Amino acid sequence: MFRTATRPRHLALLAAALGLAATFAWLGDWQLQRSRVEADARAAQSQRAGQPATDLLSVLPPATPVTGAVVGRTVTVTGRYDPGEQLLVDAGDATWVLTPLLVDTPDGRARLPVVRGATGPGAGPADVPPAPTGTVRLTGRLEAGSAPTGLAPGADVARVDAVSPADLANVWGTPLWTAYLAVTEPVPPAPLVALPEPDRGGGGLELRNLSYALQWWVFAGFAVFVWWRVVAEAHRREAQAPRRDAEPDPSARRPPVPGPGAAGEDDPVTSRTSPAAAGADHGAEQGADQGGPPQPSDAGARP
Amino acid sequence: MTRDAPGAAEPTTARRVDPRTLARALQRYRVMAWVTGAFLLLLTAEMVAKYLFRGGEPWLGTWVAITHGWIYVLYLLTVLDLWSKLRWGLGRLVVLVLAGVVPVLSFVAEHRVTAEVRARTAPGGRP
Repeated sequence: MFRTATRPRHLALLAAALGLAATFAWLGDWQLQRSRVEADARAAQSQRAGQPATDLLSVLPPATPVTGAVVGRTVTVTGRYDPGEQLLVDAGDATWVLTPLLVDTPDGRARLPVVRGATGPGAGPADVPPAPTGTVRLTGRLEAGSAPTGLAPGADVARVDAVSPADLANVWGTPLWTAYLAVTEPVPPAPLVALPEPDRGGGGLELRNLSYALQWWVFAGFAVFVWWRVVAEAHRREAQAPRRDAEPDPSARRPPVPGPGAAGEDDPVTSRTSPAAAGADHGAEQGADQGGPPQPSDAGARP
Repeated sequence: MTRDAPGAAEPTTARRVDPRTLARALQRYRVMAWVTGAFLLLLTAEMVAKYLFRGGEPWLGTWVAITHGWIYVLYLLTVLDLWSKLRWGLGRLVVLVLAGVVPVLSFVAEHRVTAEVRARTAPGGRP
Protein backbone atom coordinates (compact mmCIF):
# COMPACT_ATOMS: atom_id res chain seq x y z
CA MET A 1 0.00 0.00 0.00
CA PHE A 2 2.79 2.40 0.92
CA ARG A 3 4.60 1.66 -2.32
CA THR A 4 1.47 2.35 -4.30
CA ALA A 5 0.91 5.58 -2.41
CA THR A 6 4.43 6.82 -3.05
CA ARG A 7 4.42 6.35 -6.81
CA PRO A 8 5.06 9.73 -8.52
CA ARG A 9 1.55 9.85 -9.95
CA HIS A 10 0.01 9.36 -6.52
CA LEU A 11 2.40 11.76 -4.86
CA ALA A 12 1.41 14.38 -7.42
CA LEU A 13 -2.23 13.59 -6.74
CA LEU A 14 -1.57 13.87 -3.02
CA ALA A 15 -0.03 17.30 -3.53
CA ALA A 16 -3.08 18.34 -5.53
CA ALA A 17 -5.47 16.93 -2.94
CA LEU A 18 -3.66 18.64 -0.08
CA GLY A 19 -3.50 21.89 -2.02
CA LEU A 20 -7.23 21.66 -2.65
CA ALA A 21 -7.89 20.79 0.98
CA ALA A 22 -5.77 23.71 2.16
CA THR A 23 -7.63 26.07 -0.17
CA PHE A 24 -10.97 24.78 1.10
CA ALA A 25 -9.85 25.09 4.71
CA TRP A 26 -8.72 28.64 4.04
CA LEU A 27 -12.08 29.46 2.42
CA GLY A 28 -13.80 27.99 5.47
CA ASP A 29 -11.71 30.19 7.72
CA TRP A 30 -12.54 33.22 5.61
CA GLN A 31 -16.25 32.47 5.91
CA LEU A 32 -15.88 32.06 9.65
CA GLN A 33 -14.25 35.47 9.89
CA ARG A 34 -16.96 37.01 7.77
CA SER A 35 -19.51 35.38 10.01
CA ARG A 36 -17.86 36.99 13.02
CA VAL A 37 -17.55 40.39 11.37
CA GLU A 38 -21.22 40.35 10.36
CA ALA A 39 -22.31 39.34 13.82
CA ASP A 40 -20.14 42.00 15.44
CA ALA A 41 -21.39 44.68 13.06
CA ARG A 42 -24.98 43.87 13.86
CA ALA A 43 -24.38 43.77 17.56
CA ALA A 44 -22.57 47.11 17.35
CA GLN A 45 -25.43 48.67 15.36
CA SER A 46 -27.96 47.51 17.92
CA GLN A 47 -25.80 48.95 20.65
CA ARG A 48 -25.43 52.26 18.85
CA ALA A 49 -29.18 52.62 18.69
CA GLY A 50 -29.15 53.00 22.47
CA GLN A 51 -26.55 55.77 22.47
CA PRO A 52 -27.54 59.38 23.15
CA ALA A 53 -28.58 61.35 20.11
CA THR A 54 -25.90 63.35 18.34
CA ASP A 55 -26.15 66.03 15.70
CA LEU A 56 -26.50 64.56 12.23
CA LEU A 57 -23.96 66.91 10.66
CA SER A 58 -21.24 65.79 13.06
CA VAL A 59 -21.95 62.12 12.33
CA LEU A 60 -22.52 62.13 8.59
CA PRO A 61 -22.21 65.09 6.23
CA PRO A 62 -24.35 65.08 3.06
CA ALA A 63 -23.17 63.08 0.04
CA THR A 64 -20.84 61.01 2.20
CA PRO A 65 -20.77 57.23 1.87
CA VAL A 66 -22.55 55.46 4.70
CA THR A 67 -20.34 53.18 6.75
CA GLY A 68 -21.44 50.48 9.13
CA ALA A 69 -20.27 52.73 11.96
CA VAL A 70 -23.15 55.19 11.48
CA VAL A 71 -25.98 52.80 10.68
CA GLY A 72 -28.33 52.58 13.63
CA ARG A 73 -27.03 55.79 15.25
CA THR A 74 -29.63 58.04 16.85
CA VAL A 75 -29.26 61.55 15.49
CA THR A 76 -31.04 64.89 15.64
CA VAL A 77 -31.50 67.24 12.72
CA THR A 78 -33.26 70.54 12.11
CA GLY A 79 -34.80 71.48 8.80
CA ARG A 80 -37.94 72.07 6.77
CA TYR A 81 -40.03 69.41 5.00
CA ASP A 82 -40.59 69.73 1.28
CA PRO A 83 -44.09 68.16 1.04
CA GLY A 84 -44.30 68.62 -2.73
CA GLU A 85 -41.57 65.99 -3.21
CA GLN A 86 -43.13 63.39 -0.90
CA LEU A 87 -43.07 59.75 -2.04
CA LEU A 88 -44.75 56.60 -0.79
CA VAL A 89 -42.60 53.49 -0.44
CA ASP A 90 -44.10 50.05 -0.97
CA ALA A 91 -42.13 48.25 1.71
CA GLY A 92 -43.68 44.82 1.60
CA ASP A 93 -46.26 44.63 4.36
CA ALA A 94 -46.30 48.39 4.96
CA THR A 95 -46.31 51.74 3.22
CA TRP A 96 -43.65 54.22 4.28
CA VAL A 97 -44.02 57.96 3.96
CA LEU A 98 -40.81 59.37 2.57
CA THR A 99 -40.42 63.14 2.62
CA PRO A 100 -37.26 65.15 1.90
CA LEU A 101 -36.10 67.42 4.70
CA LEU A 102 -34.28 70.53 3.55
CA VAL A 103 -31.31 71.01 5.85
CA ASP A 104 -29.00 74.00 5.88
CA THR A 105 -25.39 72.91 6.14
CA PRO A 106 -22.19 74.96 6.12
CA ASP A 107 -21.83 74.00 2.46
CA GLY A 108 -25.34 74.97 1.45
CA ARG A 109 -28.75 73.35 1.49
CA ALA A 110 -29.02 69.55 1.19
CA ARG A 111 -31.85 67.03 1.26
CA LEU A 112 -32.19 64.30 3.85
CA PRO A 113 -34.58 61.43 3.03
CA VAL A 114 -36.87 61.13 6.04
CA VAL A 115 -39.27 58.27 6.64
CA ARG A 116 -41.94 60.03 8.68
CA GLY A 117 -43.63 56.77 9.56
CA ALA A 118 -45.25 53.61 8.28
CA THR A 119 -48.85 52.65 7.68
CA GLY A 120 -50.72 49.74 6.14
CA PRO A 121 -49.89 48.34 2.70
CA GLY A 122 -51.48 50.02 -0.28
CA ALA A 123 -52.06 53.35 1.46
CA GLY A 124 -52.46 56.29 -0.93
CA PRO A 125 -51.42 59.94 -0.60
CA ALA A 126 -54.84 60.78 0.89
CA ASP A 127 -54.35 58.24 3.70
CA VAL A 128 -51.30 59.90 5.23
CA PRO A 129 -51.20 63.04 7.34
CA PRO A 130 -49.48 66.02 5.73
CA ALA A 131 -45.94 66.89 6.67
CA PRO A 132 -45.58 69.57 9.34
CA THR A 133 -44.81 73.01 7.96
CA GLY A 134 -42.08 75.32 9.14
CA THR A 135 -38.85 74.40 10.84
CA VAL A 136 -38.90 71.05 12.63
CA ARG A 137 -36.41 69.37 14.89
CA LEU A 138 -36.37 65.60 14.42
CA THR A 139 -34.79 62.72 16.26
CA GLY A 140 -34.45 59.37 14.55
CA ARG A 141 -32.33 56.47 13.50
CA LEU A 142 -29.91 56.60 10.61
CA GLU A 143 -30.42 53.71 8.21
CA ALA A 144 -28.48 52.71 5.10
CA GLY A 145 -30.45 53.06 1.89
CA SER A 146 -31.04 50.30 -0.63
CA ALA A 147 -29.33 49.76 -3.95
CA PRO A 148 -30.77 51.63 -6.95
CA THR A 149 -33.86 50.12 -8.54
CA GLY A 150 -33.40 51.98 -11.80
CA LEU A 151 -35.47 55.18 -11.71
CA ALA A 152 -34.69 57.41 -14.64
CA PRO A 153 -33.52 60.99 -14.01
CA GLY A 154 -36.48 63.35 -13.73
CA ALA A 155 -38.95 60.47 -13.60
CA ASP A 156 -42.39 61.48 -12.41
CA VAL A 157 -43.00 59.04 -9.61
CA ALA A 158 -45.24 58.95 -6.60
CA ARG A 159 -44.41 55.47 -5.37
CA VAL A 160 -41.11 53.63 -5.12
CA ASP A 161 -40.15 50.14 -3.99
CA ALA A 162 -37.28 51.05 -1.70
CA VAL A 163 -35.51 53.98 -0.12
CA SER A 164 -32.62 54.22 -2.53
CA PRO A 165 -30.53 57.40 -2.29
CA ALA A 166 -29.18 56.78 -5.80
CA ASP A 167 -32.73 56.76 -7.16
CA LEU A 168 -33.77 59.70 -5.00
CA ALA A 169 -30.89 61.77 -6.35
CA ASN A 170 -32.50 61.40 -9.77
CA VAL A 171 -35.91 62.48 -8.49
CA TRP A 172 -35.02 65.10 -5.90
CA GLY A 173 -31.65 66.29 -7.13
CA THR A 174 -28.47 66.74 -5.14
CA PRO A 175 -26.80 67.30 -2.71
CA LEU A 176 -28.41 64.47 -0.84
CA TRP A 177 -27.61 62.34 2.17
CA THR A 178 -26.84 58.75 1.31
CA ALA A 179 -28.54 57.50 4.47
CA TYR A 180 -32.12 58.08 5.53
CA LEU A 181 -33.67 59.02 8.84
CA ALA A 182 -36.37 56.90 10.46
CA VAL A 183 -38.14 59.41 12.68
CA THR A 184 -38.74 58.43 16.30
CA GLU A 185 -39.43 61.91 17.77
CA PRO A 186 -41.74 63.65 17.48
CA VAL A 187 -43.81 60.48 17.55
CA PRO A 188 -45.43 60.06 14.12
CA PRO A 189 -49.12 61.11 14.12
CA ALA A 190 -51.77 58.39 13.64
CA PRO A 191 -52.24 56.40 11.50
CA LEU A 192 -48.48 56.53 11.04
CA VAL A 193 -46.21 54.55 13.35
CA ALA A 194 -42.48 54.88 13.79
CA LEU A 195 -40.45 52.51 11.64
CA PRO A 196 -39.56 49.48 13.74
CA GLU A 197 -35.85 48.91 14.14
CA PRO A 198 -34.71 46.28 11.64
CA ASP A 199 -33.66 42.96 13.07
CA ARG A 200 -29.90 43.26 13.30
CA GLY A 201 -29.28 40.73 16.00
CA GLY A 202 -30.34 37.31 14.95
CA GLY A 203 -30.17 34.73 12.24
CA GLY A 204 -29.54 35.32 8.57
CA LEU A 205 -26.12 36.14 7.44
CA GLU A 206 -23.96 35.01 10.34
CA LEU A 207 -25.60 31.62 10.30
CA ARG A 208 -25.12 31.42 6.56
CA ASN A 209 -21.42 32.23 6.71
CA LEU A 210 -20.89 29.84 9.58
CA SER A 211 -22.68 27.17 7.58
CA TYR A 212 -20.50 27.87 4.53
CA ALA A 213 -17.39 27.66 6.72
CA LEU A 214 -18.33 24.19 7.96
CA GLN A 215 -19.11 23.07 4.42
CA TRP A 216 -15.72 24.16 3.12
CA TRP A 217 -14.05 22.08 5.82
CA VAL A 218 -16.14 19.07 4.89
CA PHE A 219 -15.04 19.57 1.25
CA ALA A 220 -11.41 19.67 2.40
CA GLY A 221 -11.94 16.24 3.98
CA PHE A 222 -13.54 15.00 0.75
CA ALA A 223 -10.45 16.01 -1.27
CA VAL A 224 -8.20 13.89 0.92
CA PHE A 225 -10.69 11.02 0.85
CA VAL A 226 -10.68 11.04 -2.96
CA TRP A 227 -6.89 10.76 -3.02
CA TRP A 228 -7.05 7.83 -0.62
CA ARG A 229 -9.67 6.11 -2.79
CA VAL A 230 -7.52 6.51 -5.92
CA VAL A 231 -4.52 4.97 -4.17
CA ALA A 232 -6.58 2.17 -2.67
CA GLU A 233 -8.03 1.34 -6.06
CA ALA A 234 -4.61 1.32 -7.72
CA HIS A 235 -3.30 -0.85 -4.93
CA ARG A 236 -6.19 -3.25 -5.30
CA ARG A 237 -5.51 -3.61 -9.00
CA GLU A 238 -1.85 -4.29 -8.39
CA ALA A 239 -2.67 -6.77 -5.70
CA GLN A 240 -4.99 -8.58 -8.06
CA ALA A 241 -2.20 -9.31 -10.44
CA PRO A 242 -1.08 -12.85 -9.62
CA ARG A 243 2.55 -12.14 -8.91
CA ARG A 244 2.43 -12.40 -5.16
CA ASP A 245 4.60 -14.73 -3.18
CA ALA A 246 1.43 -15.98 -1.61
CA GLU A 247 0.24 -17.39 -4.92
CA PRO A 248 0.20 -21.15 -4.77
CA ASP A 249 0.54 -21.58 -8.53
CA PRO A 250 4.25 -21.68 -9.41
CA SER A 251 3.70 -20.65 -13.02
CA ALA A 252 2.12 -17.44 -11.81
CA ARG A 253 5.15 -16.53 -9.74
CA ARG A 254 7.47 -14.17 -11.42
CA PRO A 255 9.96 -11.56 -10.23
CA PRO A 256 8.18 -8.58 -8.79
CA VAL A 257 7.94 -5.66 -11.12
CA PRO A 258 10.59 -3.19 -10.00
CA GLY A 259 9.05 -0.15 -8.44
CA PRO A 260 10.88 2.60 -10.35
CA GLY A 261 10.33 0.88 -13.68
CA ALA A 262 6.61 0.66 -13.28
CA ALA A 263 6.34 3.92 -11.44
CA GLY A 264 3.81 6.37 -12.66
CA GLU A 265 1.50 3.94 -14.38
CA ASP A 266 -0.78 1.34 -12.95
CA ASP A 267 -2.19 0.01 -16.12
CA PRO A 268 1.04 -1.47 -17.54
CA VAL A 269 1.35 -3.54 -14.41
CA THR A 270 -2.12 -4.87 -14.74
CA SER A 271 -2.02 -5.51 -18.43
CA ARG A 272 1.45 -7.02 -18.40
CA THR A 273 0.39 -9.65 -15.97
CA SER A 274 -2.92 -10.39 -17.59
CA PRO A 275 -1.70 -12.77 -20.30
CA ALA A 276 0.44 -14.59 -17.78
CA ALA A 277 -2.53 -15.03 -15.56
CA ALA A 278 -4.56 -16.38 -18.43
CA GLY A 279 -1.81 -18.87 -19.17
CA ALA A 280 -1.73 -19.93 -15.59
CA ASP A 281 -5.39 -20.71 -15.84
CA HIS A 282 -5.93 -18.77 -12.69
CA GLY A 283 -9.44 -17.46 -12.36
CA ALA A 284 -9.91 -18.18 -16.03
CA GLU A 285 -13.62 -18.75 -15.84
CA GLN A 286 -14.04 -15.25 -14.44
CA GLY A 287 -11.51 -13.57 -16.63
CA ALA A 288 -12.54 -15.23 -19.83
CA ASP A 289 -16.09 -14.02 -20.04
CA GLN A 290 -15.49 -10.65 -18.51
CA GLY A 291 -12.77 -9.66 -20.90
CA GLY A 292 -10.58 -8.19 -18.18
CA PRO A 293 -7.73 -9.28 -15.99
CA PRO A 294 -8.50 -12.23 -13.75
CA GLN A 295 -9.74 -11.51 -10.31
CA PRO A 296 -8.62 -13.89 -7.65
CA SER A 297 -10.27 -13.55 -4.30
CA ASP A 298 -9.02 -10.72 -2.21
CA ALA A 299 -8.30 -12.90 0.77
CA GLY A 300 -4.80 -13.99 -0.13
CA ALA A 301 -3.89 -11.14 -2.35
CA ARG A 302 -4.06 -8.29 0.08
CA PRO A 303 -1.12 -7.89 2.39
CA MET B 1 -15.97 -12.34 -26.23
CA THR B 2 -12.30 -11.85 -26.94
CA ARG B 3 -9.90 -10.93 -24.25
CA ASP B 4 -9.05 -7.26 -23.93
CA ALA B 5 -5.85 -6.19 -25.56
CA PRO B 6 -3.04 -5.37 -23.17
CA GLY B 7 -3.41 -1.82 -22.00
CA ALA B 8 -7.20 -1.82 -22.21
CA ALA B 9 -8.26 1.02 -20.01
CA GLU B 10 -10.70 -0.28 -17.47
CA PRO B 11 -10.81 -3.71 -15.99
CA THR B 12 -14.31 -4.91 -15.32
CA THR B 13 -14.02 -4.50 -11.64
CA ALA B 14 -17.42 -2.95 -11.13
CA ARG B 15 -18.94 -6.41 -11.26
CA ARG B 16 -17.34 -7.36 -8.06
CA VAL B 17 -19.60 -5.04 -6.10
CA ASP B 18 -22.82 -6.71 -5.12
CA PRO B 19 -25.39 -5.52 -7.69
CA ARG B 20 -27.92 -4.81 -4.97
CA THR B 21 -25.43 -2.63 -3.09
CA LEU B 22 -24.67 -0.84 -6.31
CA ALA B 23 -28.36 -0.38 -7.07
CA ARG B 24 -28.92 1.17 -3.65
CA ALA B 25 -25.95 3.52 -4.07
CA LEU B 26 -27.32 4.49 -7.48
CA GLN B 27 -30.75 5.14 -6.01
CA ARG B 28 -29.33 7.34 -3.24
CA TYR B 29 -27.34 9.29 -5.80
CA ARG B 30 -30.38 9.73 -8.04
CA VAL B 31 -32.54 11.06 -5.22
CA MET B 32 -29.86 13.52 -4.15
CA ALA B 33 -29.18 14.58 -7.75
CA TRP B 34 -32.82 15.56 -8.10
CA VAL B 35 -33.10 17.25 -4.72
CA THR B 36 -29.85 19.14 -5.31
CA GLY B 37 -30.92 20.14 -8.81
CA ALA B 38 -34.29 21.38 -7.58
CA PHE B 39 -32.76 23.36 -4.73
CA LEU B 40 -30.16 24.82 -7.04
CA LEU B 41 -32.93 26.14 -9.28
CA LEU B 42 -34.63 27.61 -6.21
CA LEU B 43 -31.35 29.20 -5.13
CA THR B 44 -30.84 30.63 -8.61
CA ALA B 45 -34.34 32.13 -8.51
CA GLU B 46 -33.60 33.56 -5.05
CA MET B 47 -30.35 35.15 -6.29
CA VAL B 48 -32.02 36.64 -9.35
CA ALA B 49 -34.89 38.01 -7.25
CA LYS B 50 -32.57 39.30 -4.54
CA TYR B 51 -29.97 41.06 -6.65
CA LEU B 52 -31.86 41.98 -9.81
CA PHE B 53 -35.30 42.88 -8.51
CA ARG B 54 -35.07 43.56 -4.80
CA GLY B 55 -31.85 45.53 -4.50
CA GLY B 56 -30.15 43.02 -2.22
CA GLU B 57 -33.14 42.26 -0.01
CA PRO B 58 -33.68 38.51 0.45
CA TRP B 59 -36.78 37.15 -1.23
CA LEU B 60 -37.48 33.74 0.26
CA GLY B 61 -34.74 34.12 2.84
CA THR B 62 -31.20 33.05 3.55
CA TRP B 63 -32.44 29.59 4.50
CA VAL B 64 -32.44 28.73 0.78
CA ALA B 65 -28.67 29.23 0.54
CA ILE B 66 -28.00 27.47 3.82
CA THR B 67 -30.18 24.48 2.98
CA HIS B 68 -28.72 24.18 -0.51
CA GLY B 69 -25.24 24.09 1.00
CA TRP B 70 -26.00 21.14 3.24
CA ILE B 71 -27.99 19.32 0.58
CA TYR B 72 -24.95 19.67 -1.67
CA VAL B 73 -22.81 18.07 1.03
CA LEU B 74 -25.21 15.10 1.14
CA TYR B 75 -25.17 14.97 -2.65
CA LEU B 76 -21.37 14.80 -2.66
CA LEU B 77 -21.49 11.95 -0.16
CA THR B 78 -23.70 9.93 -2.49
CA VAL B 79 -21.48 10.84 -5.45
CA LEU B 80 -18.33 9.72 -3.64
CA ASP B 81 -20.02 6.50 -2.60
CA LEU B 82 -21.22 5.65 -6.10
CA TRP B 83 -17.94 6.72 -7.68
CA SER B 84 -15.99 4.48 -5.29
CA LYS B 85 -18.23 1.51 -5.93
CA LEU B 86 -18.04 1.88 -9.70
CA ARG B 87 -14.28 2.53 -9.55
CA TRP B 88 -14.58 5.35 -12.00
CA GLY B 89 -11.80 7.76 -12.87
CA LEU B 90 -11.20 11.26 -11.55
CA GLY B 91 -12.64 12.94 -14.63
CA ARG B 92 -16.10 11.58 -13.94
CA LEU B 93 -15.85 12.61 -10.33
CA VAL B 94 -15.10 16.19 -11.36
CA VAL B 95 -18.12 16.20 -13.69
CA LEU B 96 -20.42 14.87 -10.97
CA VAL B 97 -19.08 17.33 -8.40
CA LEU B 98 -19.66 20.24 -10.78
CA ALA B 99 -23.08 18.90 -11.73
CA GLY B 100 -24.27 19.83 -8.26
CA VAL B 101 -23.46 23.52 -8.66
CA VAL B 102 -24.29 24.22 -12.31
CA PRO B 103 -28.05 24.70 -12.72
CA VAL B 104 -29.79 21.86 -14.60
CA LEU B 105 -26.56 19.90 -15.11
CA SER B 106 -27.35 17.52 -12.25
CA PHE B 107 -30.48 16.30 -14.07
CA VAL B 108 -28.49 15.60 -17.25
CA ALA B 109 -25.70 13.87 -15.33
CA GLU B 110 -28.20 11.79 -13.37
CA HIS B 111 -29.81 10.61 -16.59
CA ARG B 112 -26.51 9.53 -18.12
CA VAL B 113 -25.12 7.92 -15.00
CA THR B 114 -28.28 5.89 -14.51
CA ALA B 115 -28.28 4.72 -18.12
CA GLU B 116 -24.64 3.73 -17.92
CA VAL B 117 -24.84 1.90 -14.63
CA ARG B 118 -27.91 0.01 -15.78
CA ALA B 119 -26.21 -1.00 -19.00
CA ARG B 120 -23.29 -2.28 -16.99
CA THR B 121 -25.26 -4.24 -14.49
CA ALA B 122 -27.77 -5.60 -16.95
CA PRO B 123 -27.68 -9.39 -17.34
CA GLY B 124 -26.23 -9.03 -20.82
CA GLY B 125 -23.10 -7.44 -19.44
CA ARG B 126 -21.20 -4.48 -20.69
CA PRO B 127 -21.55 -3.91 -24.41
